[in-house]
Amino acid sequence: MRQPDIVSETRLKALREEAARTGEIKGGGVVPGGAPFPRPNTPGYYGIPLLKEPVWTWQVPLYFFVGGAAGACAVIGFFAHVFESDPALARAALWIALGGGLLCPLLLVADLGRPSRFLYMLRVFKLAPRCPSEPGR
Amino acid sequence: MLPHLSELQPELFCEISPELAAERGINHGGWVTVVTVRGSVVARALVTPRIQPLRIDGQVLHQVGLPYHWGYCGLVKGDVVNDLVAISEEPNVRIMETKGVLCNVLPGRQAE
Amino acid sequence: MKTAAFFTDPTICIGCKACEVACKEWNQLPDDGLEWSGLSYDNTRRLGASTWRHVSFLEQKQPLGQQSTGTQEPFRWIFMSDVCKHCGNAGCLEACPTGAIVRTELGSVFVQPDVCNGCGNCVVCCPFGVIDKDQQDGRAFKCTFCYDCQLAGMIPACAKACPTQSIHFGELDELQEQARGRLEELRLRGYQDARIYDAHGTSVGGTHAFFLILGEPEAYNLPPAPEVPTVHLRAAWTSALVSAGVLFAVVCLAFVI
Repeated sequence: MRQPDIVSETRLKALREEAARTGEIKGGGVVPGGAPFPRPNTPGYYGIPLLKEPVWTWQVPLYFFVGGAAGACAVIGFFAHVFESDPALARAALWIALGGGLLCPLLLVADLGRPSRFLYMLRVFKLAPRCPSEPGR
Repeated sequence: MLPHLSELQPELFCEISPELAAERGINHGGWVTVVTVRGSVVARALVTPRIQPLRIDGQVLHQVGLPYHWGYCGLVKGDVVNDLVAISEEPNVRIMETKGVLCNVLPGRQAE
Repeated sequence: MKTAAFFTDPTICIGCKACEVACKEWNQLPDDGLEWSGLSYDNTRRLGASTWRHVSFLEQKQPLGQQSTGTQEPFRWIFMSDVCKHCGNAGCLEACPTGAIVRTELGSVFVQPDVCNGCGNCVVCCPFGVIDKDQQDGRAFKCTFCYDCQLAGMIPACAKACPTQSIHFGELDELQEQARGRLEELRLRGYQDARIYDAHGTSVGGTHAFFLILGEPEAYNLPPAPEVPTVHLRAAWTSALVSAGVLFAVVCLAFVI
């Protein structure tokens, strides 16, 4: 039986140690990317996200902004009306609030996967919706 | 049924040890050409520690695995691994008997 | 059948993916695209709108019980068939504004495809990242627990197809008893890191589809401490009311001063 080839054994050992230490192999001038074997710095299951990313599109953040602005305008309009200090302000604020209030549901319906079914959201009344502003829509 | 089965393994792949991949400069997910005296196939490289170099008679001998024969038609086409081995069929049911053969493994898609 | 349940045992699974194919065949689901991932033998990657059973492939440098692989380091290759957990307190069910997601008489969580309008609330509320919206179709989909099969007296397609009976289907308490027995047996055989993953004791309230995993749940893309998002509702409502109150107070003051 031949003696072990020391050169190739040593090289093999070096490669194995490098692979174990870094999860990468830098040999032969080429670096493999994304190797499936356990890498110390890849979280979870091959780095695939555990939770699902939101499927909402640009309409939803715009809805949050418009909804918040319309709500604040409504409060301003209400107090302007109550204190009767500036009727023009009260009118403007309430018109803006109305416009925003009409725009919000349009934005939400546009984001739906099946927009024709938007009325189905009126089927149930829940105290546990996505966010506290939902029932007031 | 065909798309459901095809998506389970959409490409011909060759399982290679990390040590051999480093020796030959093979990227995981890249292409390799496996060459024998009879022919060559091009496959994706799956670098995995499940494949280990062997020590035979004092020498280090690398091994690669091609678990799927693959096929040249259908939804997911590719090279046929039977090109690498001689036709040697079991006499009763004609299952291919040849499972192991000496080969060379080259990085990339080498023209043959 | 009081409460239908799945007990999936990765220690018996052979990674054949018959469960994936059977589920897709029965439910007429589309494929996920024919793209090789290179992530061991897993080319479907995760559960989603068109994959309701997904087999995970884990290559780990840890021993499998007392097994000796003859390699320099210990090594094991684990296969686990992942599925919707059908939670006791389901995040998707709580979040759904149309009431499309309901609890069936079998205890499973079911998305009614004729009601779902594709709002996407359920997608972000699932603590396990299971349910997803199909971009072409517009609605959200997930495992139905083969509701149609069970109503006809059959067992779910994945459990039927599994050649090793790694996927057990039956009553919840019977399967839990079986799982405990299996865990005992594995511990005796040297599988020290075996554990039952069923989210009991969390706000999710136990899952009707549970697993017997080896090692950490994070390696399987399972959350170690799942919680149903409704635990944050009280805090959310409180902060909303406080913000509204502050807004009222500030605006009122602006007019008074």
